[in-house]
Amino acid sequence: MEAFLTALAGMGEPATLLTLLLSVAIGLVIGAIPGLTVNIAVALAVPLAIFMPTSQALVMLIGLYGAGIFGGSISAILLNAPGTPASAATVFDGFPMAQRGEATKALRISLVASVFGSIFSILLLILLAPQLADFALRFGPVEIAALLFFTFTIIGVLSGDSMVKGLLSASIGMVLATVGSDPMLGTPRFTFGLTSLLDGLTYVPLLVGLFALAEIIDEVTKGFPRSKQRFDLDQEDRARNRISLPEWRSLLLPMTRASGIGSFIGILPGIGATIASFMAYADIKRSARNPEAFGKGDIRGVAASESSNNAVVGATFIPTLALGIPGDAVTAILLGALVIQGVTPGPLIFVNAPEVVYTIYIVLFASTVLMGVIGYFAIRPLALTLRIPKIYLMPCVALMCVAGSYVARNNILDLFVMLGAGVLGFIFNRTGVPVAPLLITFIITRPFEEAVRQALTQSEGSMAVFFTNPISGGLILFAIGLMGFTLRSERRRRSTARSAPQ
Amino acid sequence: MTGGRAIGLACTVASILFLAILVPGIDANRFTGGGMQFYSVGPTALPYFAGGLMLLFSVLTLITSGQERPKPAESGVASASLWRPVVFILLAAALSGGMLIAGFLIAAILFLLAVFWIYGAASKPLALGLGVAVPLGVDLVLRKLFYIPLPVAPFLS
Repeated sequence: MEAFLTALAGMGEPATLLTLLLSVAIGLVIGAIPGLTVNIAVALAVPLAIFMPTSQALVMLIGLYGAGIFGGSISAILLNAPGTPASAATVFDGFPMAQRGEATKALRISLVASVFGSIFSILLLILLAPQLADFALRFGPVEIAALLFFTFTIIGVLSGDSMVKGLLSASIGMVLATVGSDPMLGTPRFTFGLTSLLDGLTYVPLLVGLFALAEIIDEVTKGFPRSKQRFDLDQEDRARNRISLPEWRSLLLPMTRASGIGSFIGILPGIGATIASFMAYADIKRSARNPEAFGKGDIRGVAASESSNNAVVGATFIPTLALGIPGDAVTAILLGALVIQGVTPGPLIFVNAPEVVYTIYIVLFASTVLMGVIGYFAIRPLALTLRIPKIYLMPCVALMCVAGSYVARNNILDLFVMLGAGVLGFIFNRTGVPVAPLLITFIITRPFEEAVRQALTQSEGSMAVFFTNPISGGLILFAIGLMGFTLRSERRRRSTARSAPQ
Repeated sequence: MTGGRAIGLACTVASILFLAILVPGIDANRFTGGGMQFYSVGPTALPYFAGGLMLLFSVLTLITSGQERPKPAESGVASASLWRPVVFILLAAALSGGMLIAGFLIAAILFLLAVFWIYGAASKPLALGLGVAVPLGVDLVLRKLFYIPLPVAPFLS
């Protein structure tokens, strides 16, 4: 109770409330602009979070995350181009609705579905995370090492279209994490005599480069394409854009199902909101009596996609808080920000820093409610942000990438790490290699190495301990089985694609 | 060659170099703990493990990427003119390096104006206004609100 009151008091600070308001508003704007993703928003905010109290930093990062995902639906509906990849499935029915003069209705459904999905997953987080953490408290180094290796496998297998490319990205993340002093003996590894590398590659420039600069380089390559807004919300018929009670009733079941799917996907590390929205959309379409209505402006399609992608937001915090394993790229960024703040996520956070856990719960709720309020009253001004030309916007964001990477440590080397990571992220994006596994593995590699070496010290150097322990053995077997299954289905998919006519 | 194959090849070469040259170099720096015995593995174990995994998945990417049809995004790399990203990266590198010599403000203003000019910003007054206002704003917010100083030109300090 005391921890809850401390968290509530922290939230009541004027600076924290102002940060919440600003972060939700900025998140909505950034999410709405195609090319600026939630990842960019959160990555650019991390350098500032270093200099804030923990509760204020959490408010800023979580506010940007939730609002940014909803913001993506605005351009998906009005431009036929999702502002964030997570809103890609919203295009299918949102844009046809806008074409027949129901853009405002689509945006309102998207907003309500987003709030519904968020609240659903936050409740799940509050119910499940403490139970999972309680179970994980019994884990020793053997189980922790196996769980982290399992995470490495699952994020590689489930992120992106190709398992091999996902695992390649994850293994590059592991290699990059070996730079710096080793955690047991302090032996320098790949530091090339530079003292600034003794702590390893700094997390902030790496994520700013991978997520923000890489996207900007991509926009530069396309020549800063200008989006054309085709619909004027003021010209729409107000009566036609009202949502009737039977329509609301018809949305309740799809939103609940989609929120369940989104939450389940959110709990699994490395998958993220994009896949969740496509899976939920396919599920609702399959279960509908009239699936042929989907893709032509069905309100259930918009609701399913938006409920599921926002349900991922709360659910990704379940593995992040309970196990210290990030659920997606944004929670990987948040996890790193928490570590910079001196808070180590994992089962012990519920014992050592319960006020941080309560702050996260409160912030998730508060930012969702605020997103609903701002989103409802500011849909028209938000639609105007789509007109901002990228030629002016993107170079300014690039400037913020440089400033943000520098201020983290006041070290010029970090700027070149950021540039290198930006080029790497750009190449990854262009060659279909997912970026999220690299960052997630980069974060979990150090605890993995510590756990493996502690386990081997306890077992007097015997590797058998990883296979005889039931949890560890089970996780390793499951990981191998999952890889085999994915490899088989990918091979089958490739042979089907080859035999299909050109 | 598809983009997947190219990245597979580049990563294969990088992982071989990592395993053959960089990882053995760690032993040279190794601290020998005065006869202390550890049952655990040493500091080179994880780099060998990570490098081995990278090599394995690079080779697999190299092999399997040839079996798939190139995606529009991959083929887009070849068709898009490469000067745009290359020039932008060079400008960003110049900004990063130039910050120490000219200070953040001057380097950032020059960077923005150069980008607006090279990539053809339509409105010159807007480009000029943003080119000056944004660096000033970033500098002011960081300096006054967060008390984080950015580099200042030696001749201005």
